[in-house]
Amino acid sequence: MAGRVVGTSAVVVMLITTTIAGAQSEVVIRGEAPAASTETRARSKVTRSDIDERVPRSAPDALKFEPGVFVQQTSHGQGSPFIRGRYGTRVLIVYDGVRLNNSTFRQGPNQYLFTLDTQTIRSIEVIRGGASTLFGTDALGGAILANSLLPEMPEPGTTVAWEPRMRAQYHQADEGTALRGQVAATVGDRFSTIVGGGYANAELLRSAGSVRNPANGAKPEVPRFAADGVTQLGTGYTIATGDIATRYWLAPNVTLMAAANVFRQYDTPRTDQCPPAFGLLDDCTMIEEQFRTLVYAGLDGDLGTWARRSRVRLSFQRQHERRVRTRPISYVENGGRDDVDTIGLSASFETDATSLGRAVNLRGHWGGDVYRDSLGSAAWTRFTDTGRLFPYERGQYLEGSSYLTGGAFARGELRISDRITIALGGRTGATRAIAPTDPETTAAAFDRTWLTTAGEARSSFRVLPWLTLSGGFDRSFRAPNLDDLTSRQQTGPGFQIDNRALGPETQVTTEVGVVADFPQIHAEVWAFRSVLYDGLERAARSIGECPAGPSSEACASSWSRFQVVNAPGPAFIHGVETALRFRPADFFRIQTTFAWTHGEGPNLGGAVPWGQFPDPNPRVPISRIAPTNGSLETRWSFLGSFYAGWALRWAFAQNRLSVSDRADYRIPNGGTPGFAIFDVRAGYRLRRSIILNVVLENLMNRPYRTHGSGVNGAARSISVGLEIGL
Amino acid sequence: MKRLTSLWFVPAVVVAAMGCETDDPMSPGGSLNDAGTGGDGDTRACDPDGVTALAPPPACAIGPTEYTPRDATSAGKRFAACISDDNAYHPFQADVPSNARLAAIASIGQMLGWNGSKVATPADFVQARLLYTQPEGVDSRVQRREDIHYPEAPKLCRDMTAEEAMQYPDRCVGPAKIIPMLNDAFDKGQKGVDPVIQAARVEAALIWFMFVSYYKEGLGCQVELNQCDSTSAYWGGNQDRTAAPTGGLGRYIKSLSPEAYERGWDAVLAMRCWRDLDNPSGVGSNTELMNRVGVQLDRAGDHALALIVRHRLQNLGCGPAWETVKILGGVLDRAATAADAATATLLRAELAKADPTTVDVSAATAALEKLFPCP
Repeated sequence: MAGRVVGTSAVVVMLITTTIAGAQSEVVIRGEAPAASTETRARSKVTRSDIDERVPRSAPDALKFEPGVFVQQTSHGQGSPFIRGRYGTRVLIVYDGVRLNNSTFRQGPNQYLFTLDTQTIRSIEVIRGGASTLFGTDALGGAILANSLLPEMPEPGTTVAWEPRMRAQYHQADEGTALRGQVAATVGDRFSTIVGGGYANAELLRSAGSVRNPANGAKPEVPRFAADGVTQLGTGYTIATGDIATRYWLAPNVTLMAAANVFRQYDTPRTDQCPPAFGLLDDCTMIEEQFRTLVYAGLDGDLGTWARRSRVRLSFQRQHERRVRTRPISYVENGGRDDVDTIGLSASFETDATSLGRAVNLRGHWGGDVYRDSLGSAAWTRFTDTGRLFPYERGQYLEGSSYLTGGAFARGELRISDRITIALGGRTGATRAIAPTDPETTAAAFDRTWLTTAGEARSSFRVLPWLTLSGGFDRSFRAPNLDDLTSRQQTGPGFQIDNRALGPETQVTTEVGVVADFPQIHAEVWAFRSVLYDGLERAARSIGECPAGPSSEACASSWSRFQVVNAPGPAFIHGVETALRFRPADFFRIQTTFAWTHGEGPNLGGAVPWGQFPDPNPRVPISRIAPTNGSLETRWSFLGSFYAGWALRWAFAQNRLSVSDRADYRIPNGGTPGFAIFDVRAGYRLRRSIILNVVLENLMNRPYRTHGSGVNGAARSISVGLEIGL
Repeated sequence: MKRLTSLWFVPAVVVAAMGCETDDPMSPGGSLNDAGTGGDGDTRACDPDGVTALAPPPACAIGPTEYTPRDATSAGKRFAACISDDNAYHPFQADVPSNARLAAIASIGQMLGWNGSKVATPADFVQARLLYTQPEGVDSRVQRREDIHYPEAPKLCRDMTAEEAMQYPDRCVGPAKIIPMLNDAFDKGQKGVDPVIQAARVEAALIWFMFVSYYKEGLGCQVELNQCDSTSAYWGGNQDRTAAPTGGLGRYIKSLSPEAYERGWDAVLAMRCWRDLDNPSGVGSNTELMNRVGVQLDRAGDHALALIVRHRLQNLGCGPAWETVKILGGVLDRAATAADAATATLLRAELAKADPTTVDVSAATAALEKLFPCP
């Protein structure tokens, strides 16, 4: 692994990850007295080994034990990370240095992190808090930086070598199977590649039963269950993946890279709408195709003094989504298809450290990026008895829309006597949204541009050899995207009305952290407060404000209508996150996390969702704030290659609900009950040849649901992961 | 590193790489203006309500337990003083989606020429069906509609498949009876088969839906307050008693019997009054008051449906009139049998006749007036 430095004394292993705009290198330091952290912000990382041992069903699943991350699942085949009270388009996902977020990411939780094949992920880093300086728009709650498996540098003197590898997973609760085969090959001493492919399938997910509404003890309306009372309808999916990554070493520390990832997810019901609340059992909204194709080429490594560590990416990404709502009893299907083609170019460079005097040095970090989306969108109604098809004049989005976002950034990090780190950075850029005339309402075409800026100031101070105080300010932004501006869509029983008069939202975050490092203990506590200005929030709309045209009836008939607007007042989120890792001996480890978040924003007034009363308070809870939650993991290794342990995930009840939360059938009446779920883990690892991991999930077989989810967690069941390198 | 010994994963890579996007569905041909096929049936447009209305039945004495907000002096007497005493409906919410569905039903009526203004073309049926099947539109509510006059099924109808619901056709009336009728009527209408009759069947099915909904939503208001607003919509198409009805059952009734129309509103206001008196921000628990409201709603609804049937009985020369009489008369059979089994049998026999010219209109009319004398 590039950039790895291994010390000599092996008592403590600590991973410190430095990140430059998605470029990563791991520094593994082994020693009795590790250097105290110089970290200036809150972050954590999931390694491949963590992923192996957690045997997750998906990439979001792999984040469930990370501090400050709460994973919501609208569907079995989806997953959305909540970070510091933000989610959806306010959390940026980056894969191998390429933005996954595009201009159709919607306000609510989305499914796109699920489209990263967990079998190909090398690591996932979670940056908590605003990160627009380095990453641009959307990075308000944080950024998720996923990195794929990389071809390794050929061993000297190698001519041609192969390493076939196979991974398999089985999940009892959904009879899920996942298979992956890959071959890593090297040719000569400069070229290496990994080629792989996989297949995964999950059936209906068995839970431990329904949770109960705190308000009345009844079962929530979603999800719906089969006759056995535990098997959840509207679950299951099928996935096929393919990938290839190649690297060519121009020099020992400079590589050219080219890669392609193909993700194909089929027939994924939206659990909360398959069937929907109050609908017949065979009424179902299904994502028939959720595809992602990513192709990129790049350059990594040392390009000289001003680009000592570099990452350059030229990428093309296509996101394809095809969905259909079927009501068989009435022989009707409402279908839609949205495609987003994104071309991107990004570059990030880190300079040499320049000495500014005795024990003072400065390191620079600079770069830029630009991404352009082109949209295709269609919608139709089809009568299945006659086969007649009726396309609409527009889809969820406007065909031919485009979106350009980009900017340039610079960041300097000053280190003084190895005790003080001061970092200052800024970004400036622009976002441009173009949409044609709306054929339904004849609303005029628009071409809007927003100048965007971001900045950060951070510092850390090593007070004692083992104690570091950190803190900083961050100003991040999110420009309105095409979903905010032009989307006209049914969102469950609600309806979103487009709004072209939007501006960017900006968030200022203040955070402070205390990091303690002892030989056996690593502990960190972070507190933050973020203030969102001009927040792009949902405001309820009346029936009279429904747009004209074919969707007018659907809009007016819906339980609620909303439009994204710039909120007139600020919204606050503050919270505390902690992480503790205790390793009293080489063979034993305990780690625990805790997160508390509290948020409120302006009451946007107007009509309220059908069946709900207006909240008279001028300020109201922010929607879907995660409850107080945490985790605890233990790991005991023995006999060299074996390990065992257990894990606990818990959350208090969340009954601070926004008005829209109260109208959201994913949230039980009165809030989401708390839970504590125990897992037992065990495994065997014979170097890289055989890796076997077993998880007994939900040992006590408790019904549970993470707040905002449309699907309950799995019942007591076994998951097995096996990897064999030949 | 070892030499590759297995290539089993290659097919998976190929499958993934070749996982092509499905093309958008293409219409199998034809246009919205297709003339369709068939046409052997009755294609003469006529207005099923196009006869002079009979004089409404004589007004009945209002029962001592019924709510009468039109009588200003009755405030606080029959019901405790409540929000409805000003004789206005006060919606729980400003926006009532049911109004939009009622408006859609009215639009469907225009498309299909329910008033005899036109013979609907296949394209009209297609457009009407498109409107009917809009997401969250009329179809979405017809699908889930239960007739709570009938005993509960072993589980909620919405927790059944369509096939299961067919086993409880009376209770699961939406999926088991009304939807199949609508599907068949739209299908035949799209094919140009008896378009006038199919349009009448669509109308009758949707009147049936409104009739069931008026009562069901009214009592459902015990738990879901917004259902009170829906009930007002199913009566008048809106929440304004003083305005002309824009849809719902009331639009049929007002011209036939102003008093019956007002009694329908009295029942709606009784419902609103009950919820004002019975934990107005939560679940109601006053079952005695709820039952009184239920009786008032039920009587107004039954009488309204009977008035429509009675009126159209006088116009059996018009095919749509006879079609709706047969369907809606059948809907009334439960209440009729409960009221007077012998008279109900007589009415049932008349409406079961294959030829409308053989129907004893006077006898059937008298039976209806006897069975449903008071709104």
